[in-house]
Amino acid sequence: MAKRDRWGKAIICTGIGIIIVLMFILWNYQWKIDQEMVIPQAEIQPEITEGTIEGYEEESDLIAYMIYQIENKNLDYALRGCAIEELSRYFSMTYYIQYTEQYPDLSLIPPSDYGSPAYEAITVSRLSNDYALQLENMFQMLGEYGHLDLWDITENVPENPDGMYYIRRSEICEILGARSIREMLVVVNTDKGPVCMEWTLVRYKRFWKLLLFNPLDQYKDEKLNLVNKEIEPMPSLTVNMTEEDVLPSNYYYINDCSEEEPEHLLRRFLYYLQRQDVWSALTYYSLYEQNPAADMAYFQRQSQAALEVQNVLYRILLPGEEKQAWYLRDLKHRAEDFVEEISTAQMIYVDYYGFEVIEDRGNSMSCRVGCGYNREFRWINFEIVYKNGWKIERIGI
Amino acid sequence: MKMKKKKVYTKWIKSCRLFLEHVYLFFLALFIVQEFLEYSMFPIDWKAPFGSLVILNNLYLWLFESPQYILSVIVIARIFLLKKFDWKYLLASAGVFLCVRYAWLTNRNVNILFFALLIIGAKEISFKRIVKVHLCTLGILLAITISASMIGIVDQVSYVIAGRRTRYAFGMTYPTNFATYIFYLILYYWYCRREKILYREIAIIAAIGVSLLLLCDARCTFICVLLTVIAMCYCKSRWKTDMISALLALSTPLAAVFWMGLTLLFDSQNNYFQKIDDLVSSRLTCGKKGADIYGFHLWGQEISMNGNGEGILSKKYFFLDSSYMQFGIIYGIVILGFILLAFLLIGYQARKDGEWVLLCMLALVSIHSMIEHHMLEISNCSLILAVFAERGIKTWQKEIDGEKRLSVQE
Repeated sequence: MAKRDRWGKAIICTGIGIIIVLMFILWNYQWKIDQEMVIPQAEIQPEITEGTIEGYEEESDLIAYMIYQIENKNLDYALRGCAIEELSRYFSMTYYIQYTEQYPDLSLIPPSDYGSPAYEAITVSRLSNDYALQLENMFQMLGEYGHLDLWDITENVPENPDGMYYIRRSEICEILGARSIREMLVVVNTDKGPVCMEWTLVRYKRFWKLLLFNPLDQYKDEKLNLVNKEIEPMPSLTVNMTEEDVLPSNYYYINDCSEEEPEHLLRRFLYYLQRQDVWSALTYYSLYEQNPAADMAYFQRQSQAALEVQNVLYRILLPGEEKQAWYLRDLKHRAEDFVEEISTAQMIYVDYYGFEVIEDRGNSMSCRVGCGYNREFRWINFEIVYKNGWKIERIGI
Repeated sequence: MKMKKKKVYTKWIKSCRLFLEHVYLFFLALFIVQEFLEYSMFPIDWKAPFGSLVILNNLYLWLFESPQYILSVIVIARIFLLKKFDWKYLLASAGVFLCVRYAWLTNRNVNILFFALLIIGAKEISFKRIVKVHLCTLGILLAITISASMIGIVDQVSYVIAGRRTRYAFGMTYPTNFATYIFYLILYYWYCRREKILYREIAIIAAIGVSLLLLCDARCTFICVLLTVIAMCYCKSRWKTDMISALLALSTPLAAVFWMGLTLLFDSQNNYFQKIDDLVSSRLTCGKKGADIYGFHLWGQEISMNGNGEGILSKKYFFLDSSYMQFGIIYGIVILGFILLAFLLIGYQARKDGEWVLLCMLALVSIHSMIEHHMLEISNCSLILAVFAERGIKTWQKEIDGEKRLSVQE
């Protein structure tokens, strides 16, 4: 009996020991993986100020905030009033395709229909640049007008709106994932007299954000409309906004990472795409020469990189030409399935097949990585450069 | 008067206890049936299995998509009517349940909650009864499914892969699923027969194993059935040693360490590893991919997997076939630890009680679960319910005495 008890105790102790060792091995394996992970957002961010308020529940407050930031040419704070993160989280490509029966490929921001963190990162990167460009234009145009004083804000509604007007509004809201959308006539007094602008605002949950510096039907216009208006002087509009208000940051500086070996660089890049972690993948891009700064050069480079990554994801995930043509023949009814095809959750099914150097130029290299998905094989071409480690300059597929 | 009242009260409690035991076994059988049918080719619309009967459809969805509610009621009632109210058991169950519930909230996999409740609720139920229920239910279902596939009521899917023989699924969605059901049926049959199993029965089982290889090309299950045959012969022999029983009792943690270690060390550039991976149909590649991309978290995570089935060889394939890798990645490190501990306790108790059949079953299931993902699927494996269920020689003796009393009365 005593011998049996000893065996029993030995079994329990050994078994528990094995289980604990196994759990430690798994924990350690994960810890090593975490140690190798890059930190996607820049660690030194002197210009990223914390937000002091969550958002504005009144359109007038948001507009007053934007006018103030535009007058002070503060790109950082002005960007925060734009619907960057909201569009990245709620834009529905399915509704867009169903209502417009068009699929503009890469010129459209990627979908948020399946909650893809990869596409969120791409949308934020692209929209940060788009809004930054528009704001730079506003700074230039309104900069010539001197001091800006908000006089009046009214919603621009047609005189006799018919049912189609409201249906169209509702469809646009469904596409944008917004609660409501309003075109606002903004009257601002300047040193050169009153000017009138028409901005489009969207509401997500409780807060308003700026969608366009133009009315909806001019959403493709790059030119911003400023109309000089002759009106009776008015007192400044009373708003709840204060000059100390800062909205939360909605764009990111990406860290600067590299790898010592070209193959390791590209394997890690593909690995992050498989994890749907585009922020980490973008750290391997050559985005800036020195420290990050909220300037146009950085946003443009980031946007270009995000667009290339979007292209890679689409080219990998989209089905073959025949099936694509089948989808395009009846987009209205096949929109949902089509958008599901490009869901980045499917990147887990992508397999890595090898690395090849096409041309080695010493400090730069052309190379390619083979990957398989859906029983199709593709080469992804890279231009990489050596800048204290290998980094990606460009991607093509 | 008081004595009479006490007798009536005791009789009532016993009746309630028995009733709840039957309710538990009934629901166990029900869950086995439901899961089996999901793996079969029977054309059932699982969103509305009762057609236009909305009330029944809603009841079905409530019962099978959130089984924790009905099971909680049964388990709590059983706990309060236990013969021996054990505070340690109650506290351990509550602790485990809370951990499992937290893991469920993280990884949204209701299966772990479901099994936790089944394990806790199996207290003071004879494990042999549980096995008998499983054996009968599975046996009837397999018989119906195989017959239905032979006469064309249900699709008989087959898979043709280059370099391998044609694989038939006999009414199931995939040949290895069918083979696994046969394997577990054999194990449960053996548990009910124990040392009384005859050599001609063992020969039939060996023949079944060969049939699985020829008709389903289920190599892992064939090897496991062969090992079962060897184990059956071994259990009938007298060559039982403490060392072997200790190894059998430790088989689950050892198998987990072996397979997970092999997976994590896998290197696709290494020829030896590549050969092993080809042998196990790229399970090492998938497992390593899952470990690298999803990783191991304390409380698990929700992941998407896509495998083969229903006559289709999927173009987009990612499936964690190994039970241990699934537990580690999907359920989390903590739950993996609990599962291995539960099987270790079963092995320890089985060894203490001299239950060689159960020890061998444990080892066979542990080996099978390295390759297949059925260790925590109620329609396949109910072995984990043995943690708190009644087992051992005393229980058998009670049953034998009960049978003897019945035969004397007759």
